[in-house]
Amino acid sequence: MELNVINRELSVGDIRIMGISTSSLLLVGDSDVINCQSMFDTPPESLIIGTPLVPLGTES
Amino acid sequence: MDRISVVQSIDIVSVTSSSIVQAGDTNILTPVSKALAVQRQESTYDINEHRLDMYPIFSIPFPPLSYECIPVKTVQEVPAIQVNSINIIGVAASSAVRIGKTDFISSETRVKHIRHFTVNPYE
Repeated sequence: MELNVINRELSVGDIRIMGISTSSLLLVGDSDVINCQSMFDTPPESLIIGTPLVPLGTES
Repeated sequence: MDRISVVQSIDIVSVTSSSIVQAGDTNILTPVSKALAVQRQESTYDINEHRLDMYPIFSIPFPPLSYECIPVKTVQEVPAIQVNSINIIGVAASSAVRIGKTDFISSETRVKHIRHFTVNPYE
């Protein structure tokens, strides 16, 4: 397979964004390789109810 | 022949935790961010209570990405990218706002949230 790209007029008016987070990208231009990876971890055991005197143990 | 990015105005409120705002060309960009957020009803914290190596999420490897190299031929009839204005409120956690050419971008973020209540909030 071969990819032929012909770039003509490319003009954008206004870009309004509230937030760009966790390995995201706003790219105005060209790029060869983009590799964005993100891991988000909030399992049920991350919600702890109890007195905070005992320091949090480690997860097995 | 590369394209030129032309931006009239850019307005960003906040850029935090290993994020990048750059105008110009870059060869390699590899931001990495590891965040552990602990929110407690009673704020009693110990200095070395949380170490990132305590939680497996900060050490397990990412799944391998497989990609195929495809021959690409580009013809730049109009070698310009024009943007009038960019308004952004927040850029965070190894993100990037890039104006210009980039060869290689590889960004990595790991976030873990812990909520600690003394009284059950759902009762």
